[in-house]
Amino acid sequence: MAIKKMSTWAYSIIIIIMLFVVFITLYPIVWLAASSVSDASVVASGRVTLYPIGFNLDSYIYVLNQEGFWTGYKNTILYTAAGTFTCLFMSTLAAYPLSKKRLVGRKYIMGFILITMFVNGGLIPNYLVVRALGLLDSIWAIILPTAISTYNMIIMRTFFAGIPSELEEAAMIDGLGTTAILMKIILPLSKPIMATMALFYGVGFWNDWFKPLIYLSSPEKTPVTLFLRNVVFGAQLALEQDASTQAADLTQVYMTIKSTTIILVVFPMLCVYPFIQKYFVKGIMIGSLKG
Amino acid sequence: MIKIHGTKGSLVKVLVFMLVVALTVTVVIGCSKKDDSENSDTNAQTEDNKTDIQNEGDEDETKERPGSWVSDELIEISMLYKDEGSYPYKSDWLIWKAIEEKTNVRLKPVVVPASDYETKERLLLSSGDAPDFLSRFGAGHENEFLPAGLLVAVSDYEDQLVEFKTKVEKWGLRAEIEDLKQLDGKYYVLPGLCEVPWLELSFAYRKDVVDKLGLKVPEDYDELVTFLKALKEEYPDTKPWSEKWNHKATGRFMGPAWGTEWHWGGHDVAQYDRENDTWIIRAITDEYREYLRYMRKLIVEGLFDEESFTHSSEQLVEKISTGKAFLSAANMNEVAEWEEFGRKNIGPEFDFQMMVPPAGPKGKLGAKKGRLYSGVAIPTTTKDKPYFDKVLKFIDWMYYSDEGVELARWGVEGVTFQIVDGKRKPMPDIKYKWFNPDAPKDARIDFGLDNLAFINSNTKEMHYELMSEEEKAFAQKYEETREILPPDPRVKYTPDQMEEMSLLKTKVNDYTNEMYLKFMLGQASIEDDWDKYVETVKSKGATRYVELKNQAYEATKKARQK
Repeated sequence: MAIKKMSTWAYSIIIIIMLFVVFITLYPIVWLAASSVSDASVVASGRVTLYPIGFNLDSYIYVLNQEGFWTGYKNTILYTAAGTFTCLFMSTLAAYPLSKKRLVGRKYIMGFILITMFVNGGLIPNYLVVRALGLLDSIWAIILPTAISTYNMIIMRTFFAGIPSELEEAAMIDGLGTTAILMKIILPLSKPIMATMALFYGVGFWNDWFKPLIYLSSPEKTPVTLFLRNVVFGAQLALEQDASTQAADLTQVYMTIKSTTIILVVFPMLCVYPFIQKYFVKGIMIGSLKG
Repeated sequence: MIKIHGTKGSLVKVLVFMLVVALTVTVVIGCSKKDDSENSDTNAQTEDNKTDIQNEGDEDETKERPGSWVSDELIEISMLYKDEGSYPYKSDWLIWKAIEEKTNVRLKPVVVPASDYETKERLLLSSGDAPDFLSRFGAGHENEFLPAGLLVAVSDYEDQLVEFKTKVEKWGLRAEIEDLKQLDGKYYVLPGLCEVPWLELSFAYRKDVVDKLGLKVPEDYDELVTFLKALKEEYPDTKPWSEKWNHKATGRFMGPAWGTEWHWGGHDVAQYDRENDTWIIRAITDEYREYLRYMRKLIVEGLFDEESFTHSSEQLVEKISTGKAFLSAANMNEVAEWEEFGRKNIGPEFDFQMMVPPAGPKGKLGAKKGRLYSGVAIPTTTKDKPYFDKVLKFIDWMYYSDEGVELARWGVEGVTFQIVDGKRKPMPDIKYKWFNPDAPKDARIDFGLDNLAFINSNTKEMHYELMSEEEKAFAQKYEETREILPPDPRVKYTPDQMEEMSLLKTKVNDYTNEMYLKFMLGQASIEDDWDKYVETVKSKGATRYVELKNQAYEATKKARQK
């Protein structure tokens, strides 16, 4: 194999470069974690680098006392769970039939779906459609409009196409119907792709702020991402957007509050990722192999 | 025919049938029309459910409290509310309860984060789903919504807005209100009214260092150079004058002193020439050149921090609180923040003080300040609602009556403030602006007071009452020693003009912004490259822009005479 043939010299260079990349990637998160438990004025003076100075949990206490934070978090978890499940369910139902070459009109259906990847109605038409369906200000406005991501569905389809058809034929001879084949044979074999898709969709729902912004209006329904976005970007974006903003209107939020909110929102995903990432690599790669 | 495999095909058939039904139902719903909006349903229900007659008690109350208003039945009014990250929305704030108690109006805020307020506002207005009124609405912002007729012409209802009209006449604001009129002779925004202009922006300097060195606070921009040089001598590896927000905030008060302009919101291509009552191209005047020369000199001598154009506000705070910058433009809120950090990083002697804007080549001029603040607009969808007149009355009370203004700023007497020696003071356990800095509760965060959604108007009494001694001294010196220029006239455009001008504006501004930085940083020469620069600015469309603007201005002036 290539690794054995590489000289130790080249190998160490690669290790050093990779360590460097790891450091650059990790540093912002380490800094955020450190500044979130540091004293605000020390952070403002730029003295906090890798470890906290003036350790205190004030900003955590402040953020965790915000009503908006808790309702937001509850909503985010709800949307992510319900959304990921719905998306997986619907994507599977779409990908599996499309993976069978014997499906009538397969090429045309695929073409029709592919067009949606490139062409979009725009903000206002989307809003009007969602409103006409009576979905405004409800969880379904977040989940249904993009329940099947075309890109993800194509990966799933390729994966399903890669499962040997002999398995299915054997099952059919034994008398299983299509749904039973899907549930008893295909799904158990699809753990890698399901985990990958769950991660893709899950992260997408966890991070989504745009759909909640435009479709939701009750403060009890907004997810925590909007809270986070407002805390981190509120003053800066308000300034860029509104020419009539008066100087005194712009209120600044301490950097420590910003870092704390970021850490609290990102933390769950950071924890989940390492456990799923073993499927992640397998899932993508398997999707690309022919059966 | 699609072949469905398996003997157990009935299950699949059932699923397919259900799916077809679901899709059909969806399509049918999508094609049907929704008639009433949800809000009018809620109000209809509330009116139906009302059993108690509250009329008698309310009428007595209204007679006792002049300038007050109570709705004769409990109604819900929705408003667009901008949620600030520094005081996040809380549904149990005192302000919501107090409003309901005083006026029988339950406010239903549509909470939108400040980071994306504009997007949501546009979306709601264009789709017809707007709430009953929009708060934090700045004068001038309404222009983009007028071609589609999305806002109510509030000037038609001025007679119903008794408090508004009274204040306009009493405080001599009629001229500024006239200036808000569009080409059809009507105006579409109800601005906040201030009895005195709020002069909040100026230079702030490190008082303890300046006192230690025995420096004189500069009265004009030449003295400012000496001031900065002395600071630089004492601290050679600092750049004493640093700014944030691309140096644009300073333009508000420095511009008039130099007879030129640069400010945020996209520098305008045109500048108002008050003497000749016409508009000229801004970025090519001799005054602008003088200003560039002055700043360039400061940058070359290391007195002005050229990173100001690009660094973030956090980086500026870092520099200030660690003693790497001694002068910056600010308002009192920011100064308080810097002092808090500076005291921890450097020591308790750290002190920042505001100075009155220095006099410039054009004289002792302060900022151009009007007395209209951001205010309220009403979408046309509200006009069709049965409780429209109550919405008007509520806005009139909340934003213009003494009672409403007091509630927004001070809250409820005995709960959040008390009267001490004839002056209002917050309760001792409540932190409010510079009052009671170590108190456990915060007026903004815990009670919803001093909320920018409601504090648009101001009386002279309340304006000064809220200031610390330091701020009051600054404000009074500013008013006494500096001439406050009136704001530039507002020009109204036809949609065709707006379209052409916005195209030209982007072209010209991209170039002038780029050259502004190049001149400042020495990448282009203010002496040698100037003539070519002037020619390019004109050829990019500035001449045509100013021509259009003057045409629109003439039309606006004629319309005002209607």
